Amino acid sequence: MAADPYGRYGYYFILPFFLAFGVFWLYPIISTFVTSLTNEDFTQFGRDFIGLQNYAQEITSAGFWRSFMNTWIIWLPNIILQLGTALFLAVMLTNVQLRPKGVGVFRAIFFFPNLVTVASIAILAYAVLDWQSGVLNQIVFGTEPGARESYVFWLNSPIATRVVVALIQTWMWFGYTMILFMAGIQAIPQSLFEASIVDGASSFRMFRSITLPLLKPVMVYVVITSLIGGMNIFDLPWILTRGTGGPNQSLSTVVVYLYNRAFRFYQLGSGAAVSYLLLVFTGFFAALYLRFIGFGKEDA
Amino acid sequence: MLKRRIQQIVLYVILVTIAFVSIAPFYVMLVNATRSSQEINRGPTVIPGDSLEENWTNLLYGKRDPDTGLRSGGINIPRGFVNSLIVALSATVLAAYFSAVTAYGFAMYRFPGRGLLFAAVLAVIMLPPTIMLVGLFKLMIGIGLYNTRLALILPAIASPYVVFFLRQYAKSVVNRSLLEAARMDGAGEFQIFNRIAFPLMMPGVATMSIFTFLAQWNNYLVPLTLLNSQEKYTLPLLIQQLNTTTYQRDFGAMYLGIALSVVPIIIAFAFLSRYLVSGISFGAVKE
Repeated sequence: MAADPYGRYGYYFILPFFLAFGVFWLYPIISTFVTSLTNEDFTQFGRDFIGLQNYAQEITSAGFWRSFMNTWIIWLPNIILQLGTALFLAVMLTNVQLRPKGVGVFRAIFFFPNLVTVASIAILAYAVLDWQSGVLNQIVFGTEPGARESYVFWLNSPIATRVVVALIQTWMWFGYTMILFMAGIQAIPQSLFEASIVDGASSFRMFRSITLPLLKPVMVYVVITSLIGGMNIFDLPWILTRGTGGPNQSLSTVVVYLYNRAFRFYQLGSGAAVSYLLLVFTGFFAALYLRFIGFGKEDA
Repeated sequence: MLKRRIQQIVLYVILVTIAFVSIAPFYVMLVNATRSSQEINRGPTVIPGDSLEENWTNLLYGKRDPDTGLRSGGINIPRGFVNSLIVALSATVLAAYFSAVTAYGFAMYRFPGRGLLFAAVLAVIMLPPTIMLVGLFKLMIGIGLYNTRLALILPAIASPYVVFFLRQYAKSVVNRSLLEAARMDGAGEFQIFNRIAFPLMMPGVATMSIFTFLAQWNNYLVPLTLLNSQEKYTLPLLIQQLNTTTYQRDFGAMYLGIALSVVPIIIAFAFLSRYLVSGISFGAVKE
């Protein structure tokens, strides 16, 4: 390729972006790392470089690991439920034999919760799950005077709170994932299905041998982006518990823990270290997942 | 034939049930926004009440103290609305124009280092946003933008995901021969972009802008970190205060507050759902 005589204009075009990119992306990313190597405390002047001490301190702290486990306990059931529901619905809505009507309407309705501000959803959940006036208890146990005795204090139980957050996450994301799966299924050449019908394959066989393998790239995308998002979950647990982390710290996720360290206790150094630990762990598990499903190898 | 009919019916039952679960909470929210706390306490219903006005007053000006007759602890939802609108609109306009310029630069010119620079843009897309939180906080304090709306708006000039999307898009909609013809006629490079390429890229820019706007409108963590005065709070930061002590027991006002933040999204969704649904599959499915 000959040199582009207008090539230098390319630099002018991308210059504003890279100025902002340097200031608002690269600098904060590097600055967070540098901060993580210091004992910077927002309430005090001066700071000293202390090497990897913040990292060592976090890795050996019970609070960090508890928040790490909480994040997984919320994410894992959510991704399993979400993938299952989304896959089932996507296959059903694109099924050529059942030909369901109103696909567009269902798709839009399932997707809608994904667009609503998480802060609003958190407060809505807070109101619906309220112990005394919440709609959930009223529906499950009724509203007769005696029924109130058995009302459940959902947001006061370490197990129930995490189940609730996992279910809300699923509720918010299954429609989004379903749309991606539907697009993936529609991209599969129809001739493959037709050929297998001629060969007398059952619907389940077609699903297992054609749909599922060809959906792998979409599956990878969904799981990886959900992993990154899920490990960084903050809004919902933070607002539901008003920043306290909830009963027995059961909703103290990694980012809730990070935010409290950095901006409530002003330990900017250890907060920054937590964010880099989170990056390393997320990257590690993403790589593990890709290896597990054999991505990148030559496959059909 | 009968078997298929039964399968279809079962499928519709499942679909309608899930659809109900998806939207029922929002219906409960709308109905309860019009009912008083006492009514809400008595149990759910599908029929709206007549306490909308009372809830509105309680929400905005706070609950009335029965002894003194004074109200305190209100939340200024309209101001939060205006703040969110200012931030989200400005950020969207900046992201749209500068991303289009950048994407065009990457798509239409060949220059040394192009691949490497674009790789840098791609690399940060996959990074979790928390990785820069502490650095961003320190930066904004350092340059005096802490607790200003600009701190939320200016970073939108560099929107890596939008650039990534629009570069692909520019390649497919801007015809090189058109560019050459314009050069023959003596048009400058920026003139060509502004007059010819940018209008051609507009459909893609519009789709991306819907997503940018939504992301900004819903953003919580960054404003929480960078703002600290009530007058500048965006809507999510005000909504979040609805579960603090003042409102804790006034469920009518609480539901109304949530409804005020959700209804605009319902209205926008009614018009834009088509673009949203087709826009989200972009990153995951290659044709």
